[in-house]
Amino acid sequence: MAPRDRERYEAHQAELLDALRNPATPPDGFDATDLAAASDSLIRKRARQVAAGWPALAHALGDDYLRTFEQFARSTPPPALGEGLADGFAFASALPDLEPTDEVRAELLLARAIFKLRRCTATPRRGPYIAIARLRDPNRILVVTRVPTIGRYHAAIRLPGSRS
Amino acid sequence: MTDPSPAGDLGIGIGWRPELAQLIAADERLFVELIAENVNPRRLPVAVKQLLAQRRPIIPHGIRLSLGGAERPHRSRLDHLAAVAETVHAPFVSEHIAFSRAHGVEAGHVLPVPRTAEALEIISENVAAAQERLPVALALEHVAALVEWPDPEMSETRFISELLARTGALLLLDLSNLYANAHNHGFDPVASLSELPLDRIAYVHVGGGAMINGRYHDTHADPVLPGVLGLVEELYSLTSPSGILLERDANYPRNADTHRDLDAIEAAARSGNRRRGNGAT
Repeated sequence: MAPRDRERYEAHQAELLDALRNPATPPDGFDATDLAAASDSLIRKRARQVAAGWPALAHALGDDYLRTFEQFARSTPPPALGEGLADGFAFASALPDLEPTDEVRAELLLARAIFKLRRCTATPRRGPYIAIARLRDPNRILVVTRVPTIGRYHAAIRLPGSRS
Repeated sequence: MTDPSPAGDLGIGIGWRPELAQLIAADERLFVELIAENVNPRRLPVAVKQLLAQRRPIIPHGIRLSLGGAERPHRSRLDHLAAVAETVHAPFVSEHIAFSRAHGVEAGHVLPVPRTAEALEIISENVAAAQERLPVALALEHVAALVEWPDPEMSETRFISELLARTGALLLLDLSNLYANAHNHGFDPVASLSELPLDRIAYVHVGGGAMINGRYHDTHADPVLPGVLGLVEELYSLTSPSGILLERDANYPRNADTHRDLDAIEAAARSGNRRRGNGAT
């Protein structure tokens, strides 16, 4: 098949991908109702995957989770790697008003040990990583380390001299 | 001596997921399918290594080769799938007749391809490129599609049959996907079965689904519906595939409920086998 034919074939597929995120204007010939059903189904699937990887974040957003995630997903395609974990990282980072619970802080820090995030795109981190975050409990901090080939370690540490 | 499995050599299986690892370890009759993109062949999960030590069949299942896309399959993705296949001593690997990215944008899913002569040619070239780098045979799975491309030039069964004939690939027959497309786009799934090259089946998929606003959604997060089990019986009344595998990806139920799905699939296969044995198809 000639490269030009492949380019045309890809352009049609890209059009469908756009329409599956924003089905209001279907490409020529597509059934608008079917397209909307497919779009909703794909976004629900992404939302399920993100909630599985980010249970504290989904819980913190509560009844607003699905609506908030849908807004994000309609403007941001899913990641190439990492599925729900990477998708959730981009989602969490796109929430300007998020006041994270300690559990969400832990999820964010663990994700940062796995991925680097640039312009909503998460790519796997390669080198070693260490990060510390303050928790709402002023007596404790969260420490996450990642050492290539050994793995990840995380712990909430009580600060020396703090009151129990 | 136990009865031969109604599902043939591979028997009954389930897609390996961390959430199902204990159920799979405890039920030695199950063969498994491993999502290739989710594992590192040099660092397989311990539970998968145990299955390997027990010589349980493991079939790598690719989900992001995008064989139905415009780009030829990426060499690094093919090398990864090949490495997983070699590590788990796979009898074959499987992927989808679908695209999952275009212009560098990911779909996050396996999406249907247009059923045209042009698509057939592009996908045949992509499949041939994949087969060159894979150490074992490739089985191709047709997908569930809530939305169809306009102006198809052929039926889905003809498209699949033609692709398999051109490439020599095996068929991963997904009965839930067949049920979904038949229900959502109005054709007879039982008639479709006899239009497919059943002698090329590597194994069979069955997944759970749900009816939402009159459409069947192939969720892999719900129980297997009776209509899909009916197709299992119909298929086994025509042929006896090597294996049949349950896909469950979310909303993991209690083990007893998963076993209920597995038992229902086996019972439907057995019932179909009986019909075939009696010559009443």
